[in-house]
Formats: sequence, C-alpha cells, structure tokens
Amino acid sequence: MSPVRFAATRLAPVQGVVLELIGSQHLLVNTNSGSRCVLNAMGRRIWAMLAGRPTFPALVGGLSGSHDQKRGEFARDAGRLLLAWQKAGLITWTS
Amino acid sequence: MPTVGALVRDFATQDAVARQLARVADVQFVNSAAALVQVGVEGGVGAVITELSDEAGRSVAPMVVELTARAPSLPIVLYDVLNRPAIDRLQEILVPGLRTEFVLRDVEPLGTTVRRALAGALPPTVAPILIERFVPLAPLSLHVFIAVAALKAPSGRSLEHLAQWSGVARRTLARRLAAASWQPPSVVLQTFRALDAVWLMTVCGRSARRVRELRDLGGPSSVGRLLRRYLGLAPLELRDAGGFAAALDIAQHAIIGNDVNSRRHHSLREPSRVDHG
Repeated sequence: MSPVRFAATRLAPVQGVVLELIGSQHLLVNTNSGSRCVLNAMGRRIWAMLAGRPTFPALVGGLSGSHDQKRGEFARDAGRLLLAWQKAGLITWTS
Repeated sequence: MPTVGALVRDFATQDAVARQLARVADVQFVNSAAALVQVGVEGGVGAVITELSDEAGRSVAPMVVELTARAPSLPIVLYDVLNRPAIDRLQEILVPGLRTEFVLRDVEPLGTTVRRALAGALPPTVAPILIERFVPLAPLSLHVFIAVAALKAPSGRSLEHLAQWSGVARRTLARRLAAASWQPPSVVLQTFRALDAVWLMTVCGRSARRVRELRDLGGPSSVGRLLRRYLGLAPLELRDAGGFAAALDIAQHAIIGNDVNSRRHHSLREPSRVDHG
C-alpha cells in the first residue's frame, strides 16, 4: 500500500480557486472551469481553515470550538458543504 | 433480518465477517468505497462496515465524510487492526459526537457492535478526544493500549481483554505504566470510563440514569460513585466546575500528574553523553 496514496486525508483548495467579494457576497470561483459557489458564514469559516490543510476531524473541531455538544451537527453541515465543493471542483483531498 | 453493507477486501476477512454476523444481519459485500456510499445512501442497509483503507489502499476518510453528509443517521463501524499507524489514521477519520464505532479486527467480536448499531443504540463516541489528549503523553510502547482503552473503556470490557487486544501482557502493561509514572492500568481504564460518562451527560445531554443503562454500569448510584472515585467530584459538582473540559484536566492530572510536559520533553533535553572509558 502506498503511504502517499493512503495519506490523502487532508482537505485543500484546488489550484486556481479564488475567493471573490462581489457586493456583499463572497464567491468561490474556479478560474479554470468557471464554476462558482456563494459562501454563507459557515462556508467562509471553512474556506479560511482550508489554508491549513486540515483533516476533517480537525476542521470540525475548529468550527465547533468550545461547543462540544454541537460537533455532530457541525460535522454533518460541514460534510454537506465540502461534498458540494468537491463536486464543483473547488476542493480536493490531499496528503 | 436487516442488511449491512461491508467494504472488506480479503476473502478470509469477508468469511470472518459473514460468520460473525450470521445471526445478526445479512451482509452485502461491496468492492469499492463508492459502492459502499451508494448502498448507504440508497437506504437498503441499517449500518455499514469498513476497513480503514479502501479498495485502492486510500484512506476511507473521504468516504466517511460523504456518508456523514448524505446518510447522517447511518451508523458506521470501522473494522481493522489497531497499531500505531492505524491510530494516526483513526484520528483523521473519527469525529467526536458521531455514531462511528471502531471494532478491533481478529480479536473483538463484531456481532455485538453491529447489533447495537442496527438497534440505533450506538451513543456518540468520545474516543477521539481521549486519543488526542492522552496518546501523545504516553511512551510509544503504550500508545496502542491507551488507544484501545480510549476506544473500548465504554464497552465495559475487562482490563485483561484490553491488555490482550493491545498485544501486551497485563503485567508488562502495569510495569510500563509505572515506569512512565502513570497510574496503574485499571485506574487509567476506569478514569476513561468516568470521562465517557461525563461526556454523555454534559455534552450529549444524557441523564445519569440513561448513562447507567447505556454503559451497563450497575446500581442507581454507580455513575456518581465512578465520577467521585476517579475524578473526585459528583456529577453536579463537575457541571459547576466546567463540565467535560474540566473533567479532562482533572483526569490528566489524576493519571499522569502535573509534570507531563517537562517529562515529555525531558529525553530531548538530556545532553549527549560521551563516555571516555
């Protein structure tokens, strides 16, 4: 088993994806494909955290902070958002 | 009989899974992570079982995220061996508060956990927090035991079982813990059980009575006794003292003492020594 392949457990932005502010809206734009996605408050927080290439548990821990009782809820919400971004070619799993 | 989906790669393990679940569930084996997501999302299975790596040897972390997002109420049972690399992998997968359970392949019966998963009786897991907090503080030779204790303390399994599952004799375990100035293994295990109870009460909102039922802890005052004995405070006192976060600090102090960080790095600070014989 290749350790490099196995280690694709971190989340990162795809190269060429930028954050644009248009009016009061934050948009993620893939400059290669043209796909875009409007960010809500949680999306903006997650996008900021992706610079550190977090694992999913670390990302959820960062989102929930001291609100331990909401970790499950944060995990499900963040999971849905990440899945949508992945399908839109905005993020990828990396090592 | 309910059906579970399973991503288990080699035939011998598939046989073992099918045999262990013969009276619990029908098993639908799939050959890829994508197929497991599909059966999980389509709703035909009551739980899914997966190893830590998929058909191509990649981590199942992305698959677990997808299942969490698309089938949030589906219990996930991770089924694999537990060694030091697997502890790292688990930390990249397990999120506290989700209904994900780890079963140690080849040693722990799978049927019990799957039966509970199918009955919707898998409480959210605190294990990732315990692993993250305590494994780095332990000497390398104790990592697997600390992880097993964190994962399995809530199950009520005996110390004998957990030592065996860690691949260490109970006596050796006690000696290693003593050498690292940790409390004896039984105290570590019971303290983790106490932390699990605090987590369920303060974070997950379960009553002491419900925790007693979930964890099969015995008499009516068993939860209070467990907390007082291993964390030094009654349930209500713990809530006032800061809840689960405070309990973690108390537990760390009780198991390891104050001097953790200095001891942890002590070996790195020791000057090189040259013996001039």
